[in-house]
Amino acid sequence: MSAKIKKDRAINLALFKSTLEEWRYNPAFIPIMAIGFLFLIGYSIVSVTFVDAPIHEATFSSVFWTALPSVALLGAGIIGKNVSSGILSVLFARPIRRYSYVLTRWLALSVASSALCLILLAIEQIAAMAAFPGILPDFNTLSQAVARVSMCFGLSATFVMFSSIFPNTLDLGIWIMLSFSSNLIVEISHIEPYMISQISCNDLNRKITEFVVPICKELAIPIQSLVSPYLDLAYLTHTGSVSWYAVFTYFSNIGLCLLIAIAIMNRKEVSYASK
Amino acid sequence: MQVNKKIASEVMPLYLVAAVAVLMLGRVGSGIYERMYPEKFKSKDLVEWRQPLEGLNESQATGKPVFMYFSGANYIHKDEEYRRNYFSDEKIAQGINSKYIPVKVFDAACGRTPKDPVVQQMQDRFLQWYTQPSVHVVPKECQIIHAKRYSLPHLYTFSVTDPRRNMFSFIDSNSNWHPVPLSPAKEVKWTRIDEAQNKAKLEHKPVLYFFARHNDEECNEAMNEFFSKSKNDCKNHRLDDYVCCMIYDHAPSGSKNSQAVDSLIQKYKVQTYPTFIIDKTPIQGISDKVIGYRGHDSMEEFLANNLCR
Repeated sequence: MSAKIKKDRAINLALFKSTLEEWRYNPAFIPIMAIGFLFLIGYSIVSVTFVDAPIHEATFSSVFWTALPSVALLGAGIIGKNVSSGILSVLFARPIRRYSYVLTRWLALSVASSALCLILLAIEQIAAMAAFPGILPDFNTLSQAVARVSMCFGLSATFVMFSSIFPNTLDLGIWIMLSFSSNLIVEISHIEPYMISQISCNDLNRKITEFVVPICKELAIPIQSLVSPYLDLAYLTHTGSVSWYAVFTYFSNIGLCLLIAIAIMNRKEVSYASK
Repeated sequence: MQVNKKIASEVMPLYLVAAVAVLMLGRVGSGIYERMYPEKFKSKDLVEWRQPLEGLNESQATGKPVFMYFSGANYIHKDEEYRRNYFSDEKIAQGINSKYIPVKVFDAACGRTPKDPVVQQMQDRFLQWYTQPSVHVVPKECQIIHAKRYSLPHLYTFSVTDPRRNMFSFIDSNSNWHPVPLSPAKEVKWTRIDEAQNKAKLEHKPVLYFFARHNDEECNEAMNEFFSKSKNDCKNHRLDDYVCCMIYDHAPSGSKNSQAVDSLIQKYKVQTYPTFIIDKTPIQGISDKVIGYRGHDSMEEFLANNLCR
């Protein structure tokens, strides 16, 4: 009867808290995070203080470089480490649904990394306001906040998916490889049809290019939204009509990553007998 | 019992499956719609671009520098990136519109068909480094060829700072930009070619023509040597006693000169650069009162005899 699950909640609060505690008491986490963030804050302060022209708004670090370190540092091996260390066998002996475990780990990672990114954003904004009193938070600040939080949630889903497939912290390595591949795919996708004959030295080369370029064109957006998913408010509103494709792509990607992670976890044999 | 436990813990949340299915449908639907109507989803371009020649004329009339943006059919994706990140940004667009005359030179041919002659002319005159897209600020003294080139920051994912920051800096720092030869010589009031003779008659001064060649080191040196403020103070030049006019010959770089430039080059038989011509006809009314340094004698001696107190 002990196997019966009484509470059917998607998010397990106890697990959520314990995940946050896990990071808090990690001896390597705080020094590494402090060094990384001090660098970004220092860079930001220097770039608003020593400028050769009047500034119009606060200078922010790039969305990618604030979200990635937070998510990668907290999220590398978020599930894989538990699988490799055997903690899951103990954990699933308790009445916890596996999807609840996946969703809770994802949420904890997203919330923690978003909090770090927003703290950094606040410091950057304060630094700009201190250096130039006329600079106030504006649409750009809001856009930055949305972009950072959305990237944290999106990247966390990607890391959770990879972590459920690969053991230990291999998910980070896979993400880095995928990131380089995505850049290559994007560059190839920029080749226009009439340029193919210019860059191909023979017929075979031309045929391969003609075959590869359209595939890369189709793959570029999905792979980019997997590697660095975020919602750019400015981009969504610049066109005059909201790009729902960007919105649907972002949310469906997160959902799909989580579904895959849950499906893999459901099929994973984690009992003591499997050891 | 073991089987029941497995069933209990290893379920797939149906609401998540349903939500993802709906989102995927939305993704496919919106993707098809946006492909059918791509124009609707192009970023707005808030910069008020002018045609090249119109922009250069406006620059001469208003005294504003030209913000010349080069792009082409080979760079459609970059063009869209820049539009999305820079030209659709209200603050950036406002800065460009208010401080510059924005000119867009779009090379639609890109080696396939004969080029638009105006595009060809602009590329020859201003695009010294053939990397598009790029921005060149052409100073207000438009007869001067020196343009400051600026490659728009690439919008790589790995950029550490927000690229908009660089754009703001560029807009602000270049709006009052003068070409290198002119920057130390702001007190020299250069007169337009077509106005020089009339101005000289009205003010009863001779005309000092300075003929130079584009990107010629000797010309630049001569410019700095004889028209810079600090050096003028030492040498006591009497530039105020002349109507100064600068002429750049574009022919050596393969471009066409304007008719006014060509006629002056022929009139004064200019063959070497730099060449100084002091034309006293407007004040003395005698057609042969033209003296000049044409690269054969000592430039310093010529200027010392004619230009210094």
